[in-house]
Amino acid sequence: MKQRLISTILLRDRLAYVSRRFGEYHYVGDPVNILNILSAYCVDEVMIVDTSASRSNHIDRFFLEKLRSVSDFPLAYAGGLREESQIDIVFRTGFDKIFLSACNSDLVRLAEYTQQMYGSQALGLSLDYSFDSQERIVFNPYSRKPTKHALMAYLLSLPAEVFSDILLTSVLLNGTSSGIDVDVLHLLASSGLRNPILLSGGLKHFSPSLAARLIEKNPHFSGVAASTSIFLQNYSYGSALVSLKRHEF
Amino acid sequence: MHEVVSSSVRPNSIGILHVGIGNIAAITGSLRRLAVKPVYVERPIDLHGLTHLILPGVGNMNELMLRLRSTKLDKAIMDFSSHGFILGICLGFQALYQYSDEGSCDCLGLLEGVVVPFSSYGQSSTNIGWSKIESFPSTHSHKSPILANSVLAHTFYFTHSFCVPVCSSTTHIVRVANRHITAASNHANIYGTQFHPELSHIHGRSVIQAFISLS
Repeated sequence: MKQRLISTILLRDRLAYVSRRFGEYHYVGDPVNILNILSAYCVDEVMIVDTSASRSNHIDRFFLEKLRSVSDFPLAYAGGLREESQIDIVFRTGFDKIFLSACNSDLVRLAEYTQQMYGSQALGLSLDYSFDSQERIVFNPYSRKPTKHALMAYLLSLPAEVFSDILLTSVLLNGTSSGIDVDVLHLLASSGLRNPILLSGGLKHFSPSLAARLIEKNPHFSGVAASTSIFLQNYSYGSALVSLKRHEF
Repeated sequence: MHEVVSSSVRPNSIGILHVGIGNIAAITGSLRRLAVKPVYVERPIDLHGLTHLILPGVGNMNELMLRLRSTKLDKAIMDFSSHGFILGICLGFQALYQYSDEGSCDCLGLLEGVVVPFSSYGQSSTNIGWSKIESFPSTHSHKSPILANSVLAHTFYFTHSFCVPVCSSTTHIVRVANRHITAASNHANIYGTQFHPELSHIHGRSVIQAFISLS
């Protein structure tokens, strides 16, 4: 099974943005056009993060249907999911998976519902973290503030078995292209978790050799998620994508 | 944008099971790219006039079987299998077998075999990602006509927490952690893929095209 290179599209009022350290939003284009380009790249998977939905508590069903209609690849969704009915809407539009935030106050209820209705393969856990001194701590994306919870302790307190992917996003590295947090994989390796693990934040280049190094750190490493702007602005990254897709692990 | 027009496909002859579970929109999108408008099958009567039926993926087996029984579509699909072509995808593929550990429930029983947790095969709890599939030298040595040898050079998208061990209907396998599980099956006019052809770009679409072209 190859490691996945997942493109993240940050949606705001039906437009695509990139962010830096969960702030400083920059417009990058029309999401439909971006999906068409990613389709031509034969992208592994795309994750739509709708920040408008988080603010308005409204799932933009018609726009999600439009995004699905131009996508012949796996689509995941995150943002503003607080009710079971909202989860139903997302799956009805044709998305294959949702990511729930580890800081969602209704996480357990929504996760159990999703597992029972759509299967655990359709459910991912998104956990953002920052640093306090040298320790990784959970970052709350709703309050946009770090919590006092240590990353590993918090993760192990959650019902990890109901989730497929676990997506770990470094707030400090988000949008910086300064390299991903490889060491977090080592931390998770000793946790006993058997979920596929995705990393996000700081990616500037992804090569087969890096993927091999990450697998060594943790055999459950399953891929990286990166801003769409990397795909669109850096042609060499496109080459890396092609290179990666030729590589078998 | 329609890239292929399936001239052999009769209008209103391709159905997608629609009981409120499954990735119907993605399969509909795939068929529309092949210039085919599907019929949504919500009740047994909707099967009338169909030649091909697709059972979609994404869902929980127990919930799917409850809905099939409550709508009497379980028996209707079994009747349909005597003359129509059926393609099960992921969850729909697993539903073709006799029993699933997901929800500990009986399934349609159109293929011999059982569905077990993926964790008993792989290192991870879920199998997610892109992988090549391989022809399986079954005792019947039959090959699935919907999977041309040319597509075996490409990868397909898998995402599942349960799987089907290799069995008599297995035509293709996928390797996981030095073992292998069923990636595709065929027995008579019943077809199934553990991977998602509707999410596997153009090569996946060629699988769907080959299925709807069966006659």
